[in-house]
This record gives sequence, C-alpha cells and structure tokens, in this order.
Amino acid sequence: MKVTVRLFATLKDFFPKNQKKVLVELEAGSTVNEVVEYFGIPQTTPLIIKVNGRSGSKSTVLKDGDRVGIFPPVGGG
Amino acid sequence: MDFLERQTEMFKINELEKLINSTILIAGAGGLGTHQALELQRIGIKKIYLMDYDRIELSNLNRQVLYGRADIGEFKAVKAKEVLDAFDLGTEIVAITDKIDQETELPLDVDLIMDALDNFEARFNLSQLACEYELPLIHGGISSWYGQLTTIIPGETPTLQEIFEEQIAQTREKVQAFSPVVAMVACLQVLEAVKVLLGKDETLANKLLFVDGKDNSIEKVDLKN
Repeated sequence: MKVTVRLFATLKDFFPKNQKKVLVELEAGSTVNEVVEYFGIPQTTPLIIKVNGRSGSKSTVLKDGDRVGIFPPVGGG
Repeated sequence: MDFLERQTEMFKINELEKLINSTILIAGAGGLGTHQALELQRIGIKKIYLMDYDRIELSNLNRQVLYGRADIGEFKAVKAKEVLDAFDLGTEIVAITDKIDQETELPLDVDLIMDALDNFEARFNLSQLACEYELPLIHGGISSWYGQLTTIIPGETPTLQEIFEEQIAQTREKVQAFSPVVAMVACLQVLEAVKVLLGKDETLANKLLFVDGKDNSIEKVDLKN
C-alpha cells in the first residue's frame, strides 16, 4: 500500500531535498510508527500525528491512500 | 492628533473602543513577550500585565528587544515596563515578577492571555489557568526557523495539554531562538489577539498554524475531528 506523508517544521530535514510530500510504500497493516522509522525520525522526538486530517498516534494502522502529517511541537520563546 | 490615526479606518468605532479598553496579560517577558508588548502598546491597548520572574541574561539579548547589556541582572518585567513607559503612548504597563504555576492568581481585569513562555511545562500551567479564569489564550512557540500558533478558547477548543500531550512537558532542551522568527510569531499572536478580542470569525481556534521562515510556507491544520 502507498501513503502520502508530509513532514513539517524541523522534521522537513528528514525529507529528500526540495520535496514537500513523499509517497511511501509500506506493508499492508503498517502503522504510523513504520513511517516514523522509514524517515529515521528518532523515537524520542515528541510528535503530533494527523492521519487524513484526524488525530492519530504512532500505533494508528494505515490503509492504502492515507495522508499522514507529522509535526514537531516547537516550544521556544 | 491621536497617535492611532493611521489605523482608525481599519476598524469600526465599537472595535476601536474595544481595543483601547482591553487588558492583556503577557505571560513571559522574553523574546515573544517583549515583541508582543511593543506591538500591543502600538495598538493602543489599555493595560498590559507583563509577568516574568526571571532576570536578564547575556544570551537573551539576541531576541529580547527591550533589553541591552547594561540591563543584565535586572528583572525582565521591571526593565520592560521602564522601557515601554518611556514611549509614553498611554498603555498602562504593570510588571509582575511572579512565576506562573497552577496556584498563580491572575488579575481580575484581564481580557486575554498571551503565551510568551519558553517551555511546555509552564505553558500547560498557563493553559490550566486560562481555563479556570475562562480567558482566551493565544499560544505561540518557536524553534530555529519555525513557529507554531493556536488559540485556546476554554470550552470551545482543546486545551494545550490535549493538543500537545502531557509527556512533552518534560522536554526542556535548549532550542535555537532567532529574533526574526520570534518577531514573526509574536506579531502573528498579536494579530490573532486583536481578532479574538473583536470576535472576528477567522481565528486560529481549533486550528494549528505552522510558519516556516526557511521555505516561506504557512500551513494551517484543523484540530477539530
């Protein structure tokens, strides 16, 4: 199955240069955590996860055509 | 001539009156807070409470625009009040040198709270206070080239804890903080505060705004499922 992934803010560094979104091929039944691992995002990074615009988590099971957005909360001031 | 002359045509008379009669609490007199205070004073806000228990350090001076080298060691809120008062624009500035925690008592005339803090632990306390006092809270945060904003309206939107999840309260790593990005986010927060005070429709309630100063993009994500 294929899912479309968008990474935001500091996470953009995990994307190939100049790409805004990436189509990722995953095994059926994969979760958001497989996406996190695919891009090499450290497990300790706090993340806000959206799947098709709805709140998700690393354990959210994905299906073909899903849109995954991953955001890092930024807390400086 | 009124110093607000060049902005009066943007607003209806009742909106102008609302702004010049509003009281705002800025929680934090660091990067975001000093920029916000300068902007809010120029909007003609009636009163600003500036709350920060911290003192000025050398590493603050790259973005905390109300302080200079000679001010190192002074209370931020007190120094900020001194500088803002010198502009003599009519806004009353009240400095509070208390730490924000769950027991903090907020002044009763506050209409809206600006988040100008630098960590999520303090922000979650602030969000809880906003709920207790039923006050809108304009959240903003930055890291290097990036910023994020949202508006918390008690009873209508998720709280900051619900959006960002409690566990990130523990993350207190030193983030890169760059004045142009801090200024950009602070200004967007002030614009948002004006819209919330005036009851405008297109606010960031139930939306998370991501600003990227590196690739010039702004993304708005719906928080309501």
